Amino acid sequence: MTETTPAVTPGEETVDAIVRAENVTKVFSTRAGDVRAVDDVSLWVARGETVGVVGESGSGKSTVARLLMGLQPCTSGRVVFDGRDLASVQGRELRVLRRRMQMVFQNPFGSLLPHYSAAANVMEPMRLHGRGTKESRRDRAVELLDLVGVNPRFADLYPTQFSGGQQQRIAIARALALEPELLVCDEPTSSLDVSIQAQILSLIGDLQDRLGLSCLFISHNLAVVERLADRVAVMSEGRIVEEGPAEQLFESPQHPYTQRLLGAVLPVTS
Amino acid sequence: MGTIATAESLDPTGLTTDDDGHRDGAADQLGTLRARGPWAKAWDRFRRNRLALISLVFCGVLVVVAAAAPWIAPYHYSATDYGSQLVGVGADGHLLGTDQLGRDILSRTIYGLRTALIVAFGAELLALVCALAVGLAAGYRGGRMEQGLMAFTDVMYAFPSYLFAIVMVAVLGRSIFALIVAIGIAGWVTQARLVRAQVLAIKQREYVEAARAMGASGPTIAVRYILPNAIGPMLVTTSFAIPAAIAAEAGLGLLGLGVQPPTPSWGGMISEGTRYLLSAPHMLLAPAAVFALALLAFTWVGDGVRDAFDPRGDQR
Repeated sequence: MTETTPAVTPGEETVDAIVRAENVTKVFSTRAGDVRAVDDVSLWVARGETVGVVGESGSGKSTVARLLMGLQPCTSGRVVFDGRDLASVQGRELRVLRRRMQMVFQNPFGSLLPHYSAAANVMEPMRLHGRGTKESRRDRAVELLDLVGVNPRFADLYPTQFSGGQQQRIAIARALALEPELLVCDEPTSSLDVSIQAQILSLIGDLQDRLGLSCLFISHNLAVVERLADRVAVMSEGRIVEEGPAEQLFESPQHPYTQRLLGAVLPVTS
Repeated sequence: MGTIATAESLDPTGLTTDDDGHRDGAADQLGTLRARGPWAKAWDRFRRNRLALISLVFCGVLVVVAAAAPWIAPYHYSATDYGSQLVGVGADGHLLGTDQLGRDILSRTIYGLRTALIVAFGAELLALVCALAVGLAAGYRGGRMEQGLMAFTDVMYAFPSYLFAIVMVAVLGRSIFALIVAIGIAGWVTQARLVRAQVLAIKQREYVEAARAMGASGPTIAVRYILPNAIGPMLVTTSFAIPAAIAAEAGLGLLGLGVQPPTPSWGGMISEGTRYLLSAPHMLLAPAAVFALALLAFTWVGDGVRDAFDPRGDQR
């Protein structure tokens, strides 16, 4: 690959970023040899901004999400959350920091605790961080379930008793329970039915407007990103090949990979 | 999926949750919609297995009889009736006859049941606690701790369990405590390996990563999120290990390594009975029959538990 590094957007250093990845590289050592999942990626999310990351499967999008969440250590480079290098924060301190960043995972069937009811799943982060009493947590959980469109009457049902779309709503309610400053969504709709996808996306968009969330939104679906993101980064083979304001990027893609990606989108007729 | 509908099918809510229009239909059907967690579902499946349910009731009766032995048994287990030794079944005052010392067979069988169950449940509890602690630590922590613990279980695994039990009884003496330790220690190794395998599988599940992202600590994840999901499959091996432990206790009794006489154990009674096989077969038959029934019932319960926790159970 002979990609040129993307031009640094003017004012990068002056932006009030909630999270910033600086020249981050992640190498996985496998039996087949080292895999560079993420290669020298720099990315930031400003407060109140939604950044979309698009790319094919295997382009390193999910790994970027996990690195930004501090779920995996970087091989080189660093991730700074609100001025603090995540690699230097450990144990208890890191868990306290996690309160301010929450994540919605790709697969709702797997990311909820199967032995906890919907309400208990939403209450769990509050319990972990010592928020409120048992009763107040439950009230809040029911409120959140209502907010994301899960009938509070079903609060005591278990995850397997819900459909995928409803499970993803519960997962979103759980991610919102601690009122995080940053919400990382890793393909939250890719395992869902198209009609449910639209509902979940407008839910997330709605919540962003209402709660002023900063959001990192990862998807292989360009239409999804176009709808939600203020700024978009395009990833290919572990690198960011193009990055810029959403409108500009979709209107006049500069990089050949982005052009191919945009050209490959099937016309949406519905 | 049985009669339980999913919430989605009853409540296809759009984003407008405060719209009461599509709630009413759901509310009408709510009576049929009950919260069913993994445990409730397992119980639902267990209940459907008639044989397992009957066996469970029978095992329950055995436990009650064992617990209430001093009040249920007509005589003390070592009380001798010198007027009537080796009398047969249905003799006056001795429903199942007496042995060579004139001790009531029914009473001794009941007390033998008590010994068998105390040893079996005690040994399995010990084995389960050891297995969960070691398996969870090895599976969750990994690294050198895992290597060390698994090497240790390999050594234990290679040791013949009966031989080990005999050594334990020789060292600790012929007490109920010694039997619990002997059988428990001999049994925990396979279970520890199973727990570790379970934990390794569950660790890969997305909810564990989600829990880390929520800010849960390692011990919280291991004990609150992984353990409850590993314990179902462990119950399956435990419920099969209980009849095995009952048999092991009887086996040691048969070898003369059971509890100290005159405390009755089924193995000891059967062993004594074989000496009077021709003259007084009832001495052998009563404990052997109850022993066989108990084993069968516990094994059938185990079968039911296995089906209840079968991950494919819902599809049937």
